[in-house]
Amino acid sequence: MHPSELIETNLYREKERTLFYGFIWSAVFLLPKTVAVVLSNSVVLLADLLKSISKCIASLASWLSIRRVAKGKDFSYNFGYGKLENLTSLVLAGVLIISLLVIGYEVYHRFLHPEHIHDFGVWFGLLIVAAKFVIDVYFWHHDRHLAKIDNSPIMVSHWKFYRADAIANGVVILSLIISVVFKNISGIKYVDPIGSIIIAGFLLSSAYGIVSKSLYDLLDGTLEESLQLVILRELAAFFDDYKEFHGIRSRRSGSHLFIDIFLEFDNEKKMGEIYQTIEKIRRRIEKSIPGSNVTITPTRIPFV
Amino acid sequence: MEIKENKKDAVLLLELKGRLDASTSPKFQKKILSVIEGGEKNLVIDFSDLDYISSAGLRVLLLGAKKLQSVDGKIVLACLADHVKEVFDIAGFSVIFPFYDATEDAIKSFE
Repeated sequence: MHPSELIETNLYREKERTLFYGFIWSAVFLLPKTVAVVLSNSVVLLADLLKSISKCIASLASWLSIRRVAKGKDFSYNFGYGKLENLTSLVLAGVLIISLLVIGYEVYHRFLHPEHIHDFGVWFGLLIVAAKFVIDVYFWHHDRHLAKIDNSPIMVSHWKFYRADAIANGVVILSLIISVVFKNISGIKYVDPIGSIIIAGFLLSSAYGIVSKSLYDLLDGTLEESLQLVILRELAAFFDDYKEFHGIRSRRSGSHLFIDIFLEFDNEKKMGEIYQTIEKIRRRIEKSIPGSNVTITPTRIPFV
Repeated sequence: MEIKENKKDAVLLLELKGRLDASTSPKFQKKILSVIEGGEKNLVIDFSDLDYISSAGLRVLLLGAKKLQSVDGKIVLACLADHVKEVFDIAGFSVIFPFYDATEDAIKSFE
């Protein structure tokens, strides 16, 4: 196996392992969180439970998707397997939106008919949420590190998910403590539904970010501006080595970036010289943009 | 984006107004290719009223610069705002294109 293939395989295994542990941790907390919701009568804990169910389903879907990508690299879909990651991210966003609708309904109901939450269930819930907070912070940093190395849409959506989870858990903890400590103050019944609105805000923001990024990539949107400038910088560095510049096209498929550059070379140049130049430019761009696959086509036809 | 054309002896001055991005670059590319095919070799592009340039705009400039290089012509840029100049620096285009603070100086550079 080529060293670069070995590194890629190890990265996929690491991603697979991380997503599997993420799923297990989410699943482990579902039962105690459900108990806490029933005992406490708290909407903020219900919102947190729905968020956890979304996370659990998302982790499972992402894990299965990564396994399929790692196993299924055959000749049938040269680019399509990368898009499976984007599709999984969209499923994840769909789960988030369903959770939002449920939270919205519960909050509306609780504002119309305010209710007290129950102390015992709240303290039990606090214990669970605090433990989950510690785990979320760990996965947030761990997945962000992996996403930086591999540039994978799944890992990016997951570390953002864990960040939102950790902050949301902080809001849950604060909201529950205020509700219990100041329970005799009038109007305190509204703290619980207000806390769940804040959590809903986090879910909405995550869903929007995931949908906009994944749809753009699924529709083969060009690479972001910062990367386009890197490509142009390398072409500028080799300005005198080609005769004409006919265009660039780029897209993303999973964690792979595909860049096609169309250049015209001097008629007097030998094919061997042209290949040497192409190789130099290709290597420079691939070094500057991790995860990129650069193809430089010598052509006289302008790219449309 | 608006493009004004102004001929000054052997130099063609193009004044850009607005934003040069992915949606307006095709218009700019059409203009630059048509003037080069029309035989213009010395181009000055005035950026005084240009608010923004994206990589799509830079690509058109690269395309034009390469076309003119083969006929011993060149593109000279004038009056770039600091934030526009920064984009040129990041893309390494500062070594390809000569810059002038005043349009008159850019035109004189061809003498």
